[in-house]
Amino acid sequence: MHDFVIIGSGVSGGRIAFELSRGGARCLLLEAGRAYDRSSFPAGEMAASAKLFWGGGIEVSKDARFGFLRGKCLGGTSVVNQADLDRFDDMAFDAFRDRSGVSFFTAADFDPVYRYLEDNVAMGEIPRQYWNQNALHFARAFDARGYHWKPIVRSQTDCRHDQGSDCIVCLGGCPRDAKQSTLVTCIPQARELGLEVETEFEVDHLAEEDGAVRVRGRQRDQEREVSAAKCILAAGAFGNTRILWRSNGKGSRLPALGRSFCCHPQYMTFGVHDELVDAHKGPLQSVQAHDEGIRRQGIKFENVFAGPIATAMLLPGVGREHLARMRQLRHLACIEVAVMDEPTGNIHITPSGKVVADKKLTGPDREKIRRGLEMAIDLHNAAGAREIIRCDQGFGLHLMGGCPIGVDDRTSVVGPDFRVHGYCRVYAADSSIYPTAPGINPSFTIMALSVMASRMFLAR
Amino acid sequence: MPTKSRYLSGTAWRGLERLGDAVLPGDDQFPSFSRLGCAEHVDVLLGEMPADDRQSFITLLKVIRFVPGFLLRGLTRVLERSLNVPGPVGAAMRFLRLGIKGVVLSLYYSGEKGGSYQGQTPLELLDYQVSVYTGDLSNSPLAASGDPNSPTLLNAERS
Repeated sequence: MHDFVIIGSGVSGGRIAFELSRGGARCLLLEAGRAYDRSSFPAGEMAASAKLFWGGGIEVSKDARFGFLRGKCLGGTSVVNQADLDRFDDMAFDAFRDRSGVSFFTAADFDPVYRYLEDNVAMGEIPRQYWNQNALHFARAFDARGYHWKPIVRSQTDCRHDQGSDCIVCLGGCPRDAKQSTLVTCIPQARELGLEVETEFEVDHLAEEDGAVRVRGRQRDQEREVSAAKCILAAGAFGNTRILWRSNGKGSRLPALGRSFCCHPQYMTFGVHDELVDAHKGPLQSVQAHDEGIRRQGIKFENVFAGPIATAMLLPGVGREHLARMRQLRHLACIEVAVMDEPTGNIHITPSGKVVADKKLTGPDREKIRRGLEMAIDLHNAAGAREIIRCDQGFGLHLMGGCPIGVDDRTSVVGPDFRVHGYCRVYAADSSIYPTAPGINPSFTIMALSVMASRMFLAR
Repeated sequence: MPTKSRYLSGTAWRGLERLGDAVLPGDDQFPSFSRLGCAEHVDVLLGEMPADDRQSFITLLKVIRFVPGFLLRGLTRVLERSLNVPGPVGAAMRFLRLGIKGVVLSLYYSGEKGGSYQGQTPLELLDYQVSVYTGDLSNSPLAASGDPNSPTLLNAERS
């Protein structure tokens, strides 16, 4: 029997598999998606979106105001994200501590873990000489309005921008393994240490029996069951909530299950310029806002872009109006507005097993979005845009909560020891345990929590 | 009518083409959805959709086959204004909008075309080109495996 079965292979699951395997534990990693590598990632935006994401590309909120993106492949979302890594600041830690009652949410407690990761994961900034026009517009606009910005730190190495690599391709998996997904940094190394991996295995149910955890699911249309001494849930906000819901029902054992969902609601704004911008060329993201005043307002600006399909989806209009906008594709600069939303969303699971996320914006959320969009429009003007296009379709890439961590089992699902309340052998340390939105890219702290949890498991 | 999809009947196939043309009628430069022939690649999308979503979409296409063109064009325009419509009606409209645009725009901007279309694809017309350099991977410590004969510039479409 395995010591651990880990469900999910993304930022958390892949990291935990590596840390535990290195510590001598016998681990089994289960992933619902397929296994790809740099030579076999689906070709083109359409196939990549359909094959690498849940829902065949996108999932939507209960009222369809938000589209959600989450990776479904070996390596999970770490394969399809932009690999941005940011430490939490005091504002994020304070919010986490206040909401959860968990005392280790401090910069001092996380600093050694962040440093461990910084020493062991390739990360860096994009040299200014490779910034594309989208990044230069962003920086110029911030300078013009007196806001501070900084280069983004990404988990990457050897992108070969000098040879013309366009990182937008890597949203469908990086063909040169420059992006440091768990598919590159954790899973192969853990396999060498004995990790076993099963893909296309969607877990449906778990139960503690006879000193072990039995995990049931379907693998390529076959019923499967595996067992291990302990189980670690690393399937994210939607996945972990679904597994626990299917295992318990929405019952008294986990009254907070599905609560505290938040997603950093994001909205794209485009500035149309007379000259070519070619925001899809070169590094996709190079800079981000780094301004205390903006941060205090719970607003986040990012310098990003999307492929032509995603951009076409976001741009308003159909027919000739749509084509007229798409003709300007190479002239578009983009500023994305995201906000630190209140954790008032709820995830529930239908009897057929479908995830339904009920995400409604609160008054303060709407006010942040209104202010953020106003500022983005002003920034586009400062960058010299001749027209500004606002996209009202919201989306969420940072899916957090559903199994919030906390000291009170009436308001949380996971305790400070990462153990799911009511279970002896089931744990979680990924984005699902976030008690609230940090307003900062969540990946680096998910990695840190996963390292902390792994050390705790090994110490036991 | 035989189709090039394992999921769509002739009626549903025609519905998809009519729906696509309502969203993307084309102009003097860009082909219409049906003229491009991109529907031939619809199984890439349908094959990955959750089964219940796929069935709902196919049913929608069968209905659309018989909706008059002017009504269909009107519907796509009304759905564009659904983002702030409240209540269950608004939710249903937004679901419909995302489902329709998701399939139609994915196919149109995929870089794919039908066997009988000789013109440029919308991506070519937009002069949208992306690539990632992979020429040095066979000698790179990053390379877990590699074909030394692989092209030095791997186009994103890998066609």
